[in-house]
Amino acid sequence: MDELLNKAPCGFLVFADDGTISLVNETLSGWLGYEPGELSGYSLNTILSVGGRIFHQTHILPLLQMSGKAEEIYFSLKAKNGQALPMLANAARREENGAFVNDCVFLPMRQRREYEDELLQAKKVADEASQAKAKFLSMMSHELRTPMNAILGFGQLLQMNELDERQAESVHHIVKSGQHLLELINEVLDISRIEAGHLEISLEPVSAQEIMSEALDMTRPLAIKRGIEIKVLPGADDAGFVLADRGRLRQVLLNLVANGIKYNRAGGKVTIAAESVANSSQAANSGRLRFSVCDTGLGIAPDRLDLLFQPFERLGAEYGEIEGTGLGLALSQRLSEAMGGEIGVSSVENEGSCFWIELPLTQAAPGAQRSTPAAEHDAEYSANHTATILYIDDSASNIKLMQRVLARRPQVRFMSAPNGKIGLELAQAHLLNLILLDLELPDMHGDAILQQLQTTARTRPIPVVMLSADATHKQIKRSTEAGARDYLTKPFEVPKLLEILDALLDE
Amino acid sequence: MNSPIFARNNVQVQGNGAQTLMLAHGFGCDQNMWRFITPAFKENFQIVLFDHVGSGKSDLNAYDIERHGNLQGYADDVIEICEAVELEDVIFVGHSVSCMIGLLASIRRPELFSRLIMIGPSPCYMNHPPEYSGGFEHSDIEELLAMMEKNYIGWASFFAPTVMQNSEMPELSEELEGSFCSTNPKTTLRFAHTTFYADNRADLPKTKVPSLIMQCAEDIIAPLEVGQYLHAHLPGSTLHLMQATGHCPHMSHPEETIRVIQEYLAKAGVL
Repeated sequence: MDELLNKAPCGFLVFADDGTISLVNETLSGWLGYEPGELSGYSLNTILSVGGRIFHQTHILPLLQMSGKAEEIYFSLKAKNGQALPMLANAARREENGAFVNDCVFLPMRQRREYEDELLQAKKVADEASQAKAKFLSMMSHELRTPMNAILGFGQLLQMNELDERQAESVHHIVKSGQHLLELINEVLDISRIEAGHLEISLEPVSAQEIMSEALDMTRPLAIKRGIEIKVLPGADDAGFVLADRGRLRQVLLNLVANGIKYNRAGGKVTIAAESVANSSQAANSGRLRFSVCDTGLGIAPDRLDLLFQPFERLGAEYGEIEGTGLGLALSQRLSEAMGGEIGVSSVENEGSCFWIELPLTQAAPGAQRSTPAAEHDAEYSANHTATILYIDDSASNIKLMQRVLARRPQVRFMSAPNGKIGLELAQAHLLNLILLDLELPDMHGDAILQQLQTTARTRPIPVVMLSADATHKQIKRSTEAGARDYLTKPFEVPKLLEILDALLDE
Repeated sequence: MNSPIFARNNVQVQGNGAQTLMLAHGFGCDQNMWRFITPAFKENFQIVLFDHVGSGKSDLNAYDIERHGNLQGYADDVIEICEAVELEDVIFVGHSVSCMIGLLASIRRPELFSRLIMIGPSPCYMNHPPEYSGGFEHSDIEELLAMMEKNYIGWASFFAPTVMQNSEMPELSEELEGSFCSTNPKTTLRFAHTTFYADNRADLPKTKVPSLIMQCAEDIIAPLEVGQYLHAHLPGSTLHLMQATGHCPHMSHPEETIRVIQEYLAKAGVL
C-alpha cells in the first residue's frame, strides 16, 4: 500500500491545521526536488510562495475547516529551487488521533495551464472590448441626440409660425427627416445595447388589456390617416397580466401595430387580440399569453419569413414609399427575447400576416391600477401667473431653443446659466418657480447640482425638471430618486415640455 | 427591518442583551465564519452579523466600484447598518481587513462605538522600507490576485454561487456548508485589491474608541511586528498575544478567542 501511495502518478500530502506536514509521497517530493521523507515535520509554508500562503490562509484553510473539503483548486507550489509548480488540488479533512488533518492530492498543470492562461487573456481582452463598446455607445447616444434636440426643437418651433406653403413644406421635411433619424438612432442604440448585454429590462405585471389599448390609442392617428380600420378583438378585457417590461412591451406592440397599418391594403383592417396559450414545450411554465396583430396586407412568401427579423431587411419595401428603418422587427425580436418571451409570424400571401408575441402570464401586482396614457393636452396657460424659470445648460443652441419655447408663455421670466456654479448662485439669489437642469455640465454633474439644491431651505422647494440626452433607465431613476420632479430626454417634444411646465406652474 | 440596508448586507440580528456585539468578517469569507463564536455571546448580547457587499449573500447589485474601491466605503456601509438597526455603543469585532473598516467607521462616527476588537489586524499589508514592514511585496499580491483569478474560471467549490436563500431560517443557512465563502469573482478580486493595497497607518491616531488587538502566533498575514506597530500607534489599545496560530483563530481556536474577548470585556466592565 505504501509503495502504491509513493509511486502513484499524483502528488499526495497530509498536513495538520497548524500547517505541519506529516506525510508527502515520493511523487510529490520528486516534483518539488526534495528527498523522500525530507519534508515531513516541515511547515506547509516551506512549499508555498507568499501569495500561495495568503491564499491558503484566507481561502483554503477556512474552507476545509467549514465544509470539510476543497475541490479543484488551482494552486501553485514552490519547489526547493524556488521554481513555481502550478497544480490542481483536491483536499479533504478527517480526524486522526483526536486531531484534524487534511489530505491533499495534486496533479500538475503544465500545457493545460498555458492554454487556460491564453483563454483567460482572451476573455479579458473581450471584456475590455465590450466595455469600450458600451462606453462608446453611451457617448454616441449623447453626442447624436444633443444636436437632434436643436434640429427637431427649432423645426417644431418654426412650424408654429405663419409660413407660406413652400416654407411649410420645407420645415415639414426637416422635422419629418429629423424624427426618422432620431428613430433610427434610438433603434440602433437599442439593438447595440442588447447585443452588448446592456439593455435594462425591469419586469413587472402588466395588464394586457391596458397595454393593448395604449398601443391602440397611440397608433390610431396613423390608422385614420391611412384609412385603416383598427380594433381590439373581444375577450381582451379579461386577458390578465403578463410579466414584462412595460415600456418595452409597448414599444414592441406599437411597432407591430404600426407595421400592420403601414403594410396594409387600401381600406384594410388591423386586429389586435390576446389569448392564453398552453405551452407544451415548457410544462412547468404553462401559462403564457399571446398577443397577435393581424393585418389584411399582401402577406409574405413562406420562404422569406425568416428574413423578416434581420436588421435592415425590408423585403423590398426599401424601394417603395412606406417609411421605415428596417430595424423595428429585429429590435422587437430581441426585446421579446430579453423579456423571456417569443415573437413569431404566420402569413398567407394575398390575405395578410399575423405577428405575435408570447409572454408569461402572471398575477396582478398588489395595488395595481390603471394608468392612463398622457392625454392630449393643450390647455391655455392662465394669464394671472407670473413665474421665473432658470435653465442650466452649457449648450448655447439649447438655451436659445428654450428661450424661444418659453416665449410662448409670455408670463414666464427666463433665466439661463451655462454651468452649475452660476446656476446655483442664481437659484439662491432669485425666487424661482422652476429649474430646468441639464446633466452634463462643464463644472459639475446635474445630479450633484440637484443634491445641492436639496440641501438649502431656500432652494429645496423649487421643482427641478431634468433635461438630458442620457435616456438610460438607470440615470432617469437616479435623478428622480434624488428629487427631480420630472425627466425629459433630449430631443424633447415641445408640447410635452409645455405641458409639464404648465402643470408645475399651476401648483 | 424594512430598510434596504438589511438586504444589501444580509444583516442578521440575534441574541438577547442591551449591548450590541457587531461581527464583521474578513476578506475571503462571509458571516458564517463567526458561527463558533456567536453561541457564547448570545445570552448577554444582541449580535449583529452581516456580509460585506460582494461577499456571502449580500446584494451584488449594491456593489459600487467607486464606493467599494476603498475601505472607507465599507466603513460607511457599517455606519449605515448601525443606523438601520438603530445601534449605539456597539462593540465592533472585526477580523482581518474588517479591523480597519471598523476603525474608519469609529473615526467618522465615534458616538456609535464603545469598543473595537480586532482579530488579526493590519493597517497596511505592504512593506514600506525602511520604517514599516507589512509583510508583503507588490509581486506577492499580484501572485495572489492571479491565483484567485485562476480559481474563478468556474470550477472551484468556494466560488460556487449561493445554493439557496434562507434568510428566514438562519439556523438552516448555517448548515448550508455549500454556501460558505460563496463570493462573486469580480467583486472579490476588487476586494482583494482594496484590502491588500490599503494603507491606514495615518488613520490610527484619529480614533477615540478603545481597542483590543488580538495577535495570533505565526500569522503570515498579520505578523507580530504589525501587531506591535498597531499597539504603539493606536491610542487606548490593548495588545493580546494569542496561543492560536494562523490567521483565523475564531475558526481554528474558538475557545481561546471567546475567552480573550470575554476577559477584555470583563476588564472593561461590559461583562
